[in-house]
Amino acid sequence: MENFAMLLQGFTVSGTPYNLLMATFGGVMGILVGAMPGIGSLLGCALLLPLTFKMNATSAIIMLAAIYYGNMYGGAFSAILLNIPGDSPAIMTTLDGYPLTKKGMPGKALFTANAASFLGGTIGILILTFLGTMLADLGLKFGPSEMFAVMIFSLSSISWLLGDSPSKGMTSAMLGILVATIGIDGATGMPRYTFGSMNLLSGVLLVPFVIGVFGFSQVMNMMSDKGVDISELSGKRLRFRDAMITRQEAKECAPAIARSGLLGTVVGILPGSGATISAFLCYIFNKRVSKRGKLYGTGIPEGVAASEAANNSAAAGAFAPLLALGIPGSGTAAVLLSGLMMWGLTPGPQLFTDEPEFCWGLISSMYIGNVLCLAMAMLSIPFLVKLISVPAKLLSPIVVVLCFIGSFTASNDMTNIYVMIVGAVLGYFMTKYEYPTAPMLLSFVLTPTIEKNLYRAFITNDGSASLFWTKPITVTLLALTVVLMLVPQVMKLVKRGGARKAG
Amino acid sequence: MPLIFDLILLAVSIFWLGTAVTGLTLWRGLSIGNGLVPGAASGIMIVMLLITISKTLRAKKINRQYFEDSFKAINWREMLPLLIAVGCVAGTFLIGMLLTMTVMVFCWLRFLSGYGVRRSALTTAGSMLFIYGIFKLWLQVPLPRGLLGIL
Repeated sequence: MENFAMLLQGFTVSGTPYNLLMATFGGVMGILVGAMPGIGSLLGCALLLPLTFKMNATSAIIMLAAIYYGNMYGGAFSAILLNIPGDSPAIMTTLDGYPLTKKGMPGKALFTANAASFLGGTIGILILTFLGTMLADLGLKFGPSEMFAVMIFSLSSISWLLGDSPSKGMTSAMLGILVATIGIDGATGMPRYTFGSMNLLSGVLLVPFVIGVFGFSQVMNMMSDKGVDISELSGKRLRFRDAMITRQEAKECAPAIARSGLLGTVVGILPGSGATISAFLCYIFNKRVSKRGKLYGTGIPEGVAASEAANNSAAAGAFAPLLALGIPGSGTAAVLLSGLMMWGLTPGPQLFTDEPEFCWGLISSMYIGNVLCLAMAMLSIPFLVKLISVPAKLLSPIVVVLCFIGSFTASNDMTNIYVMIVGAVLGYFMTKYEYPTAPMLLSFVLTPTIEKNLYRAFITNDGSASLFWTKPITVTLLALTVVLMLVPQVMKLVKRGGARKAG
Repeated sequence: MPLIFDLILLAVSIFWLGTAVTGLTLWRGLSIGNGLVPGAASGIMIVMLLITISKTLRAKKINRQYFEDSFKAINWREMLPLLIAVGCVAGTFLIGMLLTMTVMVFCWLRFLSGYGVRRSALTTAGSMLFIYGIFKLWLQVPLPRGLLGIL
């Protein structure tokens, strides 16, 4: 109840015209930056941080927070329309978003993404409002061994993405690990698989790799007469009315949004996980538990909703450890932390009591900003939908430009362009020869965190493996992993036995 | 062709495993070494690829005809963007990224898509101005300027 009173007080701070203007400006910038491939929330916040030098702390954080969650809205746009995720949290959105576009329903995909982003974000903000500090404390109980177990739990979900050929699915997952091990090892600080190249020391970045695997390989497919061609949509009149989802689709999306909203927030709170891992995990979890799980990846609004609700709720969840403990859960949160320090604030348990106006002003502004972002994103649908009616032969060279500049911008390095080209070749042939690409990307995202935490877990336990059976959270998570991996196999055996008996 | 792709992946995974075992460490002091994760992953990948390859070998007769048919099945037009990308990389080193992209978009629209000179030029100008405005003017991304140092 106390939190609710503080929240209402926060609205008096965030509701001032100047702060509303800042939230709107941040939202617009976030959506724009998110829609541009390769930039992402981290770079977006870092680029606009200098603008806040002369602002008061509350207005500044309101603007930066709006950029952060506005980015989650924008990331879905290029993922849905061009098959190029604007930012890494939108990778899973491409799996159902782009197929929906190919079916002639880009508006529906965008509408679902925006609505799910809003609802997922709202769930995240509600949890942050009422349980934020408590969950942040819980997050502190997650040491290296617990984080390793969480990541292994996430990685085990690969078994749900393997597709028709488990051996090809596993190959794809292992390939992701191989690519992720290029560069300086985050745990030991030793270089590996760099082939003597200085440029590879920092490793393969996710964004250019994904742009290659999804975006550029798509251009290659668009060259073919038989291949995927969105030019079929050319000249068609696509209206906003067509973008609305049906009541049945809304019913199907609602549970996915609720699951992603809750799980996504919790993952967002965990240190070192962030919106990307949250989107991967929630998408796979929903694919597993939904009645329409088998249809995920074929182009259903539910798949878009599962991914988008997750990344927005994780963005909200990331504020809990940042404000309550002063621990940034992700790269973007680290930029926000540096901003807090720059404005003379000390994040940590005292922040809520010492600076209630700041904390509750920020949290309340997230409600307002989320509504503003939803309005802006919805209003942009008619214009975005027009983009897809541009003929493929006109769109292809512009997509190539976005692939090039988007990849380069990820770290202002030409190596990213080479990574993008290699990713394109890999993505093209993998799709051609029926290797699923999703397991590769999931393992690529998770490997650095798994390796780093495993290394730390052993170091803190003097090299003993007992940590895997003496720590309650670790044991529970590992046991859950085993159970979840075994359940599908046991179910198969039971079904087979039943069929034999019936036969 | 799928077999060739599998064999390339197999060669990569063998290289990864070899490096992990011989060039890196599997265990270092109190914790894992930098070769454990890549070594384990490449080991599993080799096993999986061998399963896939053996399935292919059992399903199809591998002879000269198989490879000839595989190469015929490739749509070489789909490889064109790769060639263009390599050309763009070379162009970036010479005349910078923005200028290379401008030339590429114009040539693509004019010669690959078959639009007229006027429409190609207008579309190129419009799209590149948008890109220039967002990435160069607003975000101030230091795009490579090439040897000639233009833009």
